[in-house]
Amino acid sequence: MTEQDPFERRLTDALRAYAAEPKASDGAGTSLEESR
Amino acid sequence: MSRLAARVHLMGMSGIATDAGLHRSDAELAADGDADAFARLVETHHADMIRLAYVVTCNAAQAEDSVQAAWINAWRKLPSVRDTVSIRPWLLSIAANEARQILRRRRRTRTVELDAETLAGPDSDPAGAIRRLDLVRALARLTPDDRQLLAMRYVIGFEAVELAALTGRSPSGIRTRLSRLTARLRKDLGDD
Repeated sequence: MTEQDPFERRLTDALRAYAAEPKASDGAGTSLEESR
Repeated sequence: MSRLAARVHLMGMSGIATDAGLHRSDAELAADGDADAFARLVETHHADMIRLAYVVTCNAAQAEDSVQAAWINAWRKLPSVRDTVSIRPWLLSIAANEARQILRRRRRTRTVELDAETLAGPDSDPAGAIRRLDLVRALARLTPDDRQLLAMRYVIGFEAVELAALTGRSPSGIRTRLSRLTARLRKDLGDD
């Protein structure tokens, strides 16, 4: 990633922390019932 | 014909078994209907797709729905994908599109559903960090397209050139849009 100013670094940290919040499913339940 | 396709073609012509001498990616295998390879794609990319969809929708349930729909879409479209090398950006774009469609279907293109869990979040923010609640409120004021761009850039880590290739815009156009977005957030988040 290109060099960021201090605000962008704080924004990146905050966005990444926020984005990681959903209790991650691993996709194991992903259904392909509607197949090709 | 791509170099890979040409190589496969030539190997087939000469009667050499392709699997022995040529490693095929999970994306290529999945495109040919290999469900195990597709499951490995899910395992590899699902978490990033959820992160991206969550920033676009600001709603965990909608993010999950978006990514489920994205996988079904990906399974259908994979056979027609020419560039299986760029599978990650392709999958992430599908997830973002599904997230935006979910918002559009609910006629909430300019607002997001901030559920109790989203608003509650962690108890405290580290000193000097952007406060979580401030961030959520600032995100809610952006359009889904802007949230997608932010997530692609700052959560996923794509550079402007990659974002330009994904969106069909120019790298300078992407940089300008990002610059305006961060300027707005800088103001909204009290950093000016």
